[in-house]
Amino acid sequence: MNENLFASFITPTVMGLPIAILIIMFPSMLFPAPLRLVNNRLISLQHWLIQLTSKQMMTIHNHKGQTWSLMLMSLIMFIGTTNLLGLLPHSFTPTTQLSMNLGMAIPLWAGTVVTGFRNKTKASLAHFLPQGTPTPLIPMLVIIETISLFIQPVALAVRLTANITAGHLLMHLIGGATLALMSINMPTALITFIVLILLTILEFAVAMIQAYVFTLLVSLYLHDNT
Amino acid sequence: MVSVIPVKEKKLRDVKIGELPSWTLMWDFIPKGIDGAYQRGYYKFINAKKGNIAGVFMVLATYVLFNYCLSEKELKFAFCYDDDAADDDVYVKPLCLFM
Repeated sequence: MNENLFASFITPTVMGLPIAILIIMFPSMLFPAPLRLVNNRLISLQHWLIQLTSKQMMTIHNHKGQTWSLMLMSLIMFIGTTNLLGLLPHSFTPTTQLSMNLGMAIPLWAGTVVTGFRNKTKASLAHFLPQGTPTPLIPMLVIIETISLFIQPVALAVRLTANITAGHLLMHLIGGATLALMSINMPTALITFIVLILLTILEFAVAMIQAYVFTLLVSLYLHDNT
Repeated sequence: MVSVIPVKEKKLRDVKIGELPSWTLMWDFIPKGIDGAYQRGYYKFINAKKGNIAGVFMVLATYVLFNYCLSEKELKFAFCYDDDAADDDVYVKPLCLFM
């Protein structure tokens, strides 16, 4: 059972070819391009959702920060769709791989930091020291703030990986437990099945929330630095 | 059994049971007729001009089937383990030895 548990997290290959690339590109198929002035129902619905999200996320930024809106909107759409697609049976979720999440988090975080350093050097460096600290504490606090700055991309990536992986693992385990309990004690199996249903609802919520949190934090780092 | 409207013009809902053989004989078996039926099916199920949610569900179902085919090899042996056998007996069910 142990090997079966983690088998769904192996990067899928077909005769040595990594299919994971195709699976990562698959969500883009679900968003058709708006080619006409008046589009069909599906495209209008997606357009409305993206407008709602972008208004919610980008109004806090100034003009310079709003140049990042395309990047942040694609980010939230990608992570949200990938997480939701991972809830389908037998599918592979790319966001469970730490490599991919680090690949998303580190460049985005580094971009915000470098933007801050280049354009507002004094203000960016001033972030390392909170206002009103007593003088003897200053060296230690600068060290702590530096460490907390460098931990930001790692925290972004690991948060997403751990949440999605843990959710999938829990569903596998509880599903297996339900199956095993069915031949032993039926009422307990029913209770476990209800737990499984509740967990699935939670997973749907977590999938979308994690996308939102990721994007929100990147936007927050951006706001500090523009 | 004799109807006023000629059988040829009716759709399936209006045909009475007794007229069914003559109704099936009415179909165009020439390639143009088969092509017409194929086109009607295509416009109804595959052409997504109206952008229904059904199109999205079809794509997702294909995706699930595709992933099942990819992971079939690992999943095949799940039912082979025989938990009731004693420890020194063979622990797989007999038919699985042929897989």
